[in-house]
Amino acid sequence: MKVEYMFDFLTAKPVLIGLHLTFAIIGIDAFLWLLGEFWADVANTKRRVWAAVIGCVGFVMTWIIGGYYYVKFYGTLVKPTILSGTAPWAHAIAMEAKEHIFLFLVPMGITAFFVAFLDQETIARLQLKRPILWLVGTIAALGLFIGALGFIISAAARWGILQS
Amino acid sequence: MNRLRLIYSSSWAASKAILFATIITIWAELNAPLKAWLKSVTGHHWTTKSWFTIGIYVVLLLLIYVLKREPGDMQVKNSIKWLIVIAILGALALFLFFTGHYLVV
Repeated sequence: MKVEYMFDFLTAKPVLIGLHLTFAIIGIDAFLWLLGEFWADVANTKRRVWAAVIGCVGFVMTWIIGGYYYVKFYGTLVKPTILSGTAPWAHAIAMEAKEHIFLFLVPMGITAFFVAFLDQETIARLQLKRPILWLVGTIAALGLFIGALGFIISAAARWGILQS
Repeated sequence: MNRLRLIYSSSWAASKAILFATIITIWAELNAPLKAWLKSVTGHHWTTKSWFTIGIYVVLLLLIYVLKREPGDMQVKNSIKWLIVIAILGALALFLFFTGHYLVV
């Protein structure tokens, strides 16, 4: 019985959105942390690996939770509200771009996780610092861009409800 | 495990998975039967794209890792560079496509 209550709580729409956002923020922050580690040439590989693990777990969790919310509730409850509101483009552009660009992040994040294991000597020998900074920076930037699109979608849904 | 070999394999596998996600998304928007087929596989076109993208990444990662025994230093560097280029271009392509699609249709 308690397990049922727990499931009901975790699958409640506001909780799902909250968890989706929380894990997304954890993922983005972890990759920003990883970016800082590489930028400062920190020799601590262990800390880099931890940052990458936290980032990947954050993105996978936000994928599962956000995906469940999107498939189960968004199409039937949120999408019609946005489309009938003053900013239907928030679905047609922001949501469509967001849900598909997100698919890039986990394969890129796992690649950054493998990169995190490299020691400073190898990075210097192969002149990898610049491409690594670009890789991790791109992951964080795409995550932030997706976050901004998510904010637009939420705002459009709120205004859609207020005006209906 | 050889770390550079793993990075090389993962970079190319991720590049191809991103390329796939971009192409299948745009193609399915322009081709209703394809979108319907994607939906029929798992019940939602996005869920199918998610599984296919991660599936392609995992299969290619293993395949490239097995086939490419010793990637050169430049090859490792270039594989990361191409991943960055493809990810940025893929994100731009999707955003511009959906913007254009909304404005035109």
